[in-house]
Amino acid sequence: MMSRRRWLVAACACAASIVVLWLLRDPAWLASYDRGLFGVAVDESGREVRWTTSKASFYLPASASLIAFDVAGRLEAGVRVSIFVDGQRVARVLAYPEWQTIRVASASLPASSRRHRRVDIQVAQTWGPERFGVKIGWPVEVR
Amino acid sequence: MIRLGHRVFVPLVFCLGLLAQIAIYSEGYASQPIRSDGVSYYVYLPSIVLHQSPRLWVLANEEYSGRFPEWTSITRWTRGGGAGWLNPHPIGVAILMLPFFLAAHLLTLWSNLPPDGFSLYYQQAASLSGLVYGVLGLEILRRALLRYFAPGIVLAVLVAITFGTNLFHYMTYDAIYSHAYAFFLVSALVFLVPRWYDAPTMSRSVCLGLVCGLLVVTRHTHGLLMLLPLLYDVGVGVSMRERLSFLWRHASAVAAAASAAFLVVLPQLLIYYSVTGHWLVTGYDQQETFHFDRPHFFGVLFSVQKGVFFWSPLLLIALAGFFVMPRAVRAFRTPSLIALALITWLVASWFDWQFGGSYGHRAYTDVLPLFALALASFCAWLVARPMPVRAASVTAIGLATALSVVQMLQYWKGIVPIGDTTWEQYRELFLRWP
Repeated sequence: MMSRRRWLVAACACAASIVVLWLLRDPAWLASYDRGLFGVAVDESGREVRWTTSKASFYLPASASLIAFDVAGRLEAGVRVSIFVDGQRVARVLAYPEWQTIRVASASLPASSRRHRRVDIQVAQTWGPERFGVKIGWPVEVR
Repeated sequence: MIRLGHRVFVPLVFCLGLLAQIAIYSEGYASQPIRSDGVSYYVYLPSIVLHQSPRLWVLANEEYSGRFPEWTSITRWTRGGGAGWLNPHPIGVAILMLPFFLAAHLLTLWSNLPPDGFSLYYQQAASLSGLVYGVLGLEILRRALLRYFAPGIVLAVLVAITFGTNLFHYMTYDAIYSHAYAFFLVSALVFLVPRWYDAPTMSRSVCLGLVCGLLVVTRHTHGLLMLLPLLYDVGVGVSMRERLSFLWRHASAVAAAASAAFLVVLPQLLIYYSVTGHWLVTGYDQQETFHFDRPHFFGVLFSVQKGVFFWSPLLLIALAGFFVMPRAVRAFRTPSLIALALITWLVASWFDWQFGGSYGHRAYTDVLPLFALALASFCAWLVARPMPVRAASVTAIGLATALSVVQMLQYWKGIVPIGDTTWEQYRELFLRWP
């Protein structure tokens, strides 16, 4: 038989876990979280960019009606890039050294109850010892 | 006071470890938990759990654009029509880390983080896992030592082994490496072996088998530690003939232990077979091999580069303990010394006898429970010695522990080089603080 004190400890632990899980469901800090992205750099045209590795993720406000970002690769032959929003593939393009704009209307995405949407970028081929993927014009535009 | 110490020591190490990990990553002493050798211990989890790809193809393609980086030592197996990536680091760490990985994965899905095996929660879980196994190892070691030694001696030994060696470092800074896990398993071995010989019940046999199997798949060369259950008490309390007779009389218990061990090793064998078409294979290439004819004994034991007794002088004191072991602990002496000698020969013969970048010699972190038995024996022996001998020895143990802590912090801050330290460098960095 569990003593009254142990019941109390167990109940407190459960309550604390529920609070933590609730806080982690849609944390505000996701806005500044990214993975697989190098730091902000300035490319030869003077534009601020961030290079991806083979996989990169970042977050944008779910309230945006349009997500638009520019992508460019390094290889003349192009490199295959897949873009996912909240796990759903929204575009698959060949990225060339010239910039191209990816536009995703929120209307085309499933409704989200969260504050942020996750954008994943998957690059089929990387270059250099640092394994650069493609560069993205930074910051990403949202409307 | 000592009773209180026993109650709080292990939880205290856990809290200190958590604080250390927070400091290490928030201050930028290390980039992220899953890095360096840790990557190859870890990749089994995302590969198998997330991608159902035990031959590591999907991860190679998705995470590394088709080819694992050279520093992971994961190589493409092309001989004899093999199809897959061969990982030189076995699956044991991943098996032990699995509960943490699953929790991280569920939390990742819950928080909408990238469920790719490498985002935030996976990193934190991998780091926490090493700390938890290290702490569990300490708790098991505490209980194992209490069978033979007074509580005060056990507490002193736990403090010294945790902070006077590189154990705390491998529970925190390099928690993803195999060493905290192996320390846990060797502690469990030291705990289980005498109890199994007391009464080889089915549950103890299965536990012993699981621990032995996990040791082999955590680091294959830890097969040498099977000497511990085999030779325990031989030449002290029983002869070899009596030991064999005991094992024969308890054949069903031995079979249960062997079956449990085989079950744990089986996933590794299946991976080897599916990648190479062979059940047993070495994952290292031809340059990365043993040179048994020219071992670097001095380098491994005493050198400024990575000598285990140079960087953890406490273990030199512990070594003396093997020769003053009380009667009950002497059962461990022969198998421990043989295992330590063979491990030293193996390590000294390895092409990279420094074991790459590391604080102290990390090959010996795994077998610290054996040194703990010896250090406790030394402390027990000290109790009956004259006051000046006791005072000098306690001072030496205290200084060795303090020096190790300072040097560990220097390593974290990049003052101590990760390898190939020279005597001039050491003299220059000795007790230096920026």
